[in-house]
Amino acid sequence: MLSSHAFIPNTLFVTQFKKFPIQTKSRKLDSLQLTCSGIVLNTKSGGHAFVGYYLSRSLQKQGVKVTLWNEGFEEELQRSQPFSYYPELQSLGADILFSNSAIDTLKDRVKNCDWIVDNFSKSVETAKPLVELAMQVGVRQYLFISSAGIYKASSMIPHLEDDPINSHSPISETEQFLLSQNSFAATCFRPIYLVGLKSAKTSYTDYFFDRIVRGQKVPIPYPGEQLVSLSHVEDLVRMIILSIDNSKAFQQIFNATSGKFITFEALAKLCSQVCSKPLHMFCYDADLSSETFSLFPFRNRHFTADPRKAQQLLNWNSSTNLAENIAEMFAEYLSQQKDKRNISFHEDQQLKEIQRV
Amino acid sequence: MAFISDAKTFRSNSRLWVFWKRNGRCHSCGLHIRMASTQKLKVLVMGGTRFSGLYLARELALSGHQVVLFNRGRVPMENMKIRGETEEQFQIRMSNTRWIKGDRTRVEEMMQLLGKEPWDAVFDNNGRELSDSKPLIDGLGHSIQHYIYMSSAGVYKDTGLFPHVEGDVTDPQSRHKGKLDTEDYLRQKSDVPFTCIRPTYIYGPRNYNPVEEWFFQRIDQDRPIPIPGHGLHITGLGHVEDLAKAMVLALGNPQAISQTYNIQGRHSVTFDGFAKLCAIAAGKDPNKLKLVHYDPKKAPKDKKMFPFRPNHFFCSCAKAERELNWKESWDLVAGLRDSYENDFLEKKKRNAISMDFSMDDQILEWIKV
Repeated sequence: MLSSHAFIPNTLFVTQFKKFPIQTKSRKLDSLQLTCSGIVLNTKSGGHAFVGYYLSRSLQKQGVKVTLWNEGFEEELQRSQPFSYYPELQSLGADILFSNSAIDTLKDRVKNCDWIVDNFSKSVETAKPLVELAMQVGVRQYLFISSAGIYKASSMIPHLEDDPINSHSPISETEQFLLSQNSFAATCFRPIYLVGLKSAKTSYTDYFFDRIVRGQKVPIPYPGEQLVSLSHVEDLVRMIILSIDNSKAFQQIFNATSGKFITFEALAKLCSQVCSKPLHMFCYDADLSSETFSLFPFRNRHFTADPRKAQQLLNWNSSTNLAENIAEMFAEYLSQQKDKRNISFHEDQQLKEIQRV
Repeated sequence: MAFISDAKTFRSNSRLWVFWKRNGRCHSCGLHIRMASTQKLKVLVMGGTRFSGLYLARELALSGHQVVLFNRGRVPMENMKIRGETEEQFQIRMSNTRWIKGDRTRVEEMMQLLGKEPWDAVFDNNGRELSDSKPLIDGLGHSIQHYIYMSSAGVYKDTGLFPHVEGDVTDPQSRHKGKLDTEDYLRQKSDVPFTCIRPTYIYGPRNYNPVEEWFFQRIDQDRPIPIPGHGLHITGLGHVEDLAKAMVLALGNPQAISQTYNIQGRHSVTFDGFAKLCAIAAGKDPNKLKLVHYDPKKAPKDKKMFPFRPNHFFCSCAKAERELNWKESWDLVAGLRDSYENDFLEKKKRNAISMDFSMDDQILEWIKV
């Protein structure tokens, strides 16, 4: 069974190609260089919040004009990363806006823009006004940051783009909604866990750092050999940039992961090496403690996806180097004095009691 | 879980738009044809009678190459017929297949026999140690277009990061050290155009290694399946026919020279998941399967107890897909059904399946205690 988005019959592709002519001048073949302008719609929290920052930074450095809209209030958001780094983007020439409605803020402000990157929508309802905006502005391409979380859990790994998905999840409905639009070509990206400096969500590594630096045992869901995908945010950003105005990316869905997976246990060991402190771990039965212990930052299953389609179609390659990336994040952790915070670990304690550790 | 459909279309390597059903039959003329995108070559296959060599010999002949097998002649010709082949199809492709009788452990004799004629390519399928392959590499390597060596993904070092990709660090302490030595020797020889193939677990009809068969035996007898460890270990498998096709696509392909390719299915699977897929292949309800997990470090030991080692072991074959234009045509569901229906059942009929569950009983007893 191939789900409908995965296979574009030749005739449909030809039609799509005709509808969305590439402005060939705007892209040098196989290059990250673009000359068209666009809008990035950014979410205010969570693991994807820093995508807007890195994407805008890369594009502005190339001389591409970016309007970076963020949901929320500037005063509030700028107190923490990644938004605290936005002045850097401004000095590069990006137009940065904050509000609670993208369409109201942007509809008269941006004209003749070529693409939109939607790192914001979580449902068809939120996407609808943005699609309206896209049509008003007349973009050729709408790029959506989806999630590999929509894949149905399976004993077969890694996820590939034609694997079955939970078609009724709001995010997969959003993908379908965007791919079915007639006025622009859509491209969807399915990342898993994103790492890197300046993230709004640092729990993927803080969970380990917090415990290791304090000599606390690290609870890991049994058996600890679950495979998880951690990818540097720049991998996703490069994939997006390679997709902009690239007809090979039109109406396509791409897994946006580094392609290499690590077990929970190996990740804990890597963090302990980076912290230069010994690792003490214990495995817990997640079924027994799913209500009382919610701190473990990853889904308790193999959660992996393969990016060979992006490698093949976009000539994209990963630059994730987990050892280096995690070392950087630990340096950031220390620079923010997170190792000096007072943490009670009472949930850990409860867990130990329940599991009789 | 069983989401892959029954009918798969296989797109050949060539630029011709020919679509194949699983048995490789041309829709219009009914003959097995492969459109070779390379010239017709005279190919020496070491072995070619047991499992991967068997399918390789067939794929080569169907691709129009002249196939010469070198082996001891222990397997009668008719046993080389593969499931789904009619007698006529078999005879047609055997007319392109010759046999030289010999023993590769009798090196001088072998090189004398093989030195009598020129070769375009050599498939070295059954070498284990460097000493097995060195005479061939030294004797023939410089005068041929392509030396294709069957290595193994077992050469990779377990670093905690998966899947294995071709550039990953190899393990000089692995059980497949001989294969690694041979690969390294080929890399040193600047005048031998070579390709190395690293499969993970190979499965399919005629598998002499009881991989899927081990599961089918227990499923057939409605027995519990004892699984070492937690059952979440990931293993990579590839159908033997897909492996053979990849090897033929590598042959004569200039991009493949000096390259190494992992070959296995797109998806790998957990031990528990694999057991369930075997149940589905056998037409049984996977939810009724009884999976019993045990600690292999503490249980009574037997090497042959379980076909997989309790570690993650799987590869990405994205490189082969990209450079050889190769794609699997057998997903795990369809492939296991192929193995069950065309091999296990047939062997069961002639009482060729060993139903010795004494080790299982030992483990199950031990677990109770």
